[in-house]
Amino acid sequence: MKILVVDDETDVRDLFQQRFRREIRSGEMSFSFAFSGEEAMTYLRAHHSEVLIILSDINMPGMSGLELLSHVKEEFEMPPTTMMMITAYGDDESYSKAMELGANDFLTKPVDFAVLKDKLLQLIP
Amino acid sequence: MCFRLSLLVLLLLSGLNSAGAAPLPVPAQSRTVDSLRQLLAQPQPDTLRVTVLCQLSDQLWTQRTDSAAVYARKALALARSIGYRQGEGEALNRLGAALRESNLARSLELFQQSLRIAKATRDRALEAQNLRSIGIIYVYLRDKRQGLSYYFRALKIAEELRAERRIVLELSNIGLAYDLFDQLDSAKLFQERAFALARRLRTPTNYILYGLGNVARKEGKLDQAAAFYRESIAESKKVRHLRSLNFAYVGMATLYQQMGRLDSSIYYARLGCQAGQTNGFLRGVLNASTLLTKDFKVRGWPDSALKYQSMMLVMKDTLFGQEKVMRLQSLNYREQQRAQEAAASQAALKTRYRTYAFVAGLVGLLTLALLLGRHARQQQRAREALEESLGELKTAQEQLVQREKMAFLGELTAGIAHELQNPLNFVKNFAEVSTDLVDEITGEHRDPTRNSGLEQEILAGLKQNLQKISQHGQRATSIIKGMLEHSRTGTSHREATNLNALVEESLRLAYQGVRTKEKEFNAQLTTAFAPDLPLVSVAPQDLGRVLINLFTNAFHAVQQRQRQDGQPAYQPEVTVSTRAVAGGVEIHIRDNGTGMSEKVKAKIFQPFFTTKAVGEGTGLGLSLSHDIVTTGHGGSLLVESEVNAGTEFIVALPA
Repeated sequence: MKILVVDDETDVRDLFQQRFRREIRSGEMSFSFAFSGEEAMTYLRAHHSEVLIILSDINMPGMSGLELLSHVKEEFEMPPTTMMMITAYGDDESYSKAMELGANDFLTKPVDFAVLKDKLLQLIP
Repeated sequence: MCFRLSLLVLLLLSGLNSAGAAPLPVPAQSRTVDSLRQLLAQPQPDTLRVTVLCQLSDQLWTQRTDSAAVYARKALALARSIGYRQGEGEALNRLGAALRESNLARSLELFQQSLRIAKATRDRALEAQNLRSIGIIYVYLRDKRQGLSYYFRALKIAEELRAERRIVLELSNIGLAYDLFDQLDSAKLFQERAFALARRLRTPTNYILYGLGNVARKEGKLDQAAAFYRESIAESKKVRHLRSLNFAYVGMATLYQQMGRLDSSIYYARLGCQAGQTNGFLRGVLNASTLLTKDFKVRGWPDSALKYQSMMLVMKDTLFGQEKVMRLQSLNYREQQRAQEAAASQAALKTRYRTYAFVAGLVGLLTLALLLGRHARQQQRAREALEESLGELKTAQEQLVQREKMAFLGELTAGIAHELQNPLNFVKNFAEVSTDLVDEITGEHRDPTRNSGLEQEILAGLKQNLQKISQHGQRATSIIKGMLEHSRTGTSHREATNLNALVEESLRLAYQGVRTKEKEFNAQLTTAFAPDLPLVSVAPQDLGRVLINLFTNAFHAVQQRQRQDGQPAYQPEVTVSTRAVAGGVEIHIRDNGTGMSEKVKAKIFQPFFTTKAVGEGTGLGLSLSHDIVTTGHGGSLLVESEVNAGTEFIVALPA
């Protein structure tokens, strides 16, 4: 299962790689990283069919997570199954906007990795 | 109506033009100085001598300030030696006017002394004179409310006395004050009233013409402005008024600078500088040398620019160093003065009573001693009450400033708390995964078939995590350090600063500050930073504070508009751009929020003015920001606004 993580904090990569070390080693999950909405779009255009899940931060400079979500839904006929929006502001407006745009789930920062792992494992076919 | 009035003024002016062109053999003013000196050489009663000395000081003030001070001191000494109270009051006012450039605080003290004498001797004209003099000091200090309130009190007395010449001066001064604070309509109204009256009385209009020129220039009527300035120059020369001559030259130079005609601007600014120097009018020299510095810089003559820049800095030091101290100590001064005066009058009273007592004998002495005791007690009580209320006033003022600072810090901390969340999450997460890694080597999950490759990998991971923890700890430290710098009091030093970075940081902090309070709030942030912006020497904490304040205001404005019209199509937007301009840099902060009416716009830089609900804002934010930009950095803070379209603030800083 390939997961694309989008966040402007670059250390998120090291963190995810360690948090999911066992899953990565066993081949259950594989992660790719993009550090902006724009970068994520470029990556998706090249690897569209591989990515199953996108995890994206909402507040990023340039293209925001919500904009990324709407671009993804527009551009790809078969968008990646799940899109979890991660935001530091647990506000209702961002939540309803994300849901309206077709997000499948919504998480609030700081991320509880145990919960995230559960949610991801449930998605594995 | 307004249009017709200005037409009339123009017609009158063209009449004056031809009159002014005829050369006058002997300037009227210098005849007066000569005849006054002659009068002084003849035997006179001493009270009349005091008056003549004061008049001489008046005449010389327009030409050489230090000579004016000499005669004012002579008048004061004579008046005191013969116990001529009214003359003493007159002389004190003259001395104050002559010292206004070199020692603002002493000057204020002298005016206040003179004002008290005027009240005690019921000399209404002298009272009005001092109200005006004190008003000028407050206008110097950019305290619009106080300055205008003194001016209007002076005007009221002049009207009660039907002293029309005085009314002309008061009207024109009020006009100039409005001009200084860019309230053009009011400035024009008062100058036109002053002009009409002055024409009727056939009194000089040199200052009024300058004021009218400024209004015309700021309204973009450049030809009209040039005509006014030219008239003012001609008339100032005629009456030998070097101060108004300096003003008019500087006005003309500013006009040419605005038109991009640098050679003409330099020509007039030099003349203005000379006039100011001859007179000892430091402020005038400062204005002229500021213009020259800019002109020469743009012209590309660094040597000349440097020469005038150093002159400008010397003037600034003398003037503003002293003003800063003044502002803080103005309350102290008043308090000390009153205490001193109370003590002095008490002492005088004592001596008088003692003389009577010797005559009246022992009984009288006893009675008087009793009276004296009571009187002293009463005075003591009055003084204590006065000191107490002054103390309360001071505390209240300090509290208000403190409250504004706390409000600002509140906004700041909200933003910073959010900033801290990210690094702290990383610290926590990397520590947790490290624990897992250690468990894997030593604990329950230990692989029985020891795999040395895996162990190496885990150790490398551990090392990396520790580095990350340290990095994010450092990041948190520097965020907190930044906050402490923002809250730090005392003198802030200037350093060469990358304004783009400062603006971006402030924008982020302000946005997060607002978002933490109003989670639902979203706005489109657009930045356009000039890539080639030079480093600018500023006090980063102070300027950061100004920027955060302006951004926070912008966010409030868009938020308010969103709430008010409730249209889903409305997209709140805050735009900031930086750009290099001739002689400095500009930061433009624009929002598409509620905007302001002209009435509100005119007041926003006044201390304690706020549109927020009672208890929500201190009304000091923009006033302090204005102070930091203008007095602190020698720049300007301008605002443009339209109701329901938005507001734009422009911070202009000299390079």
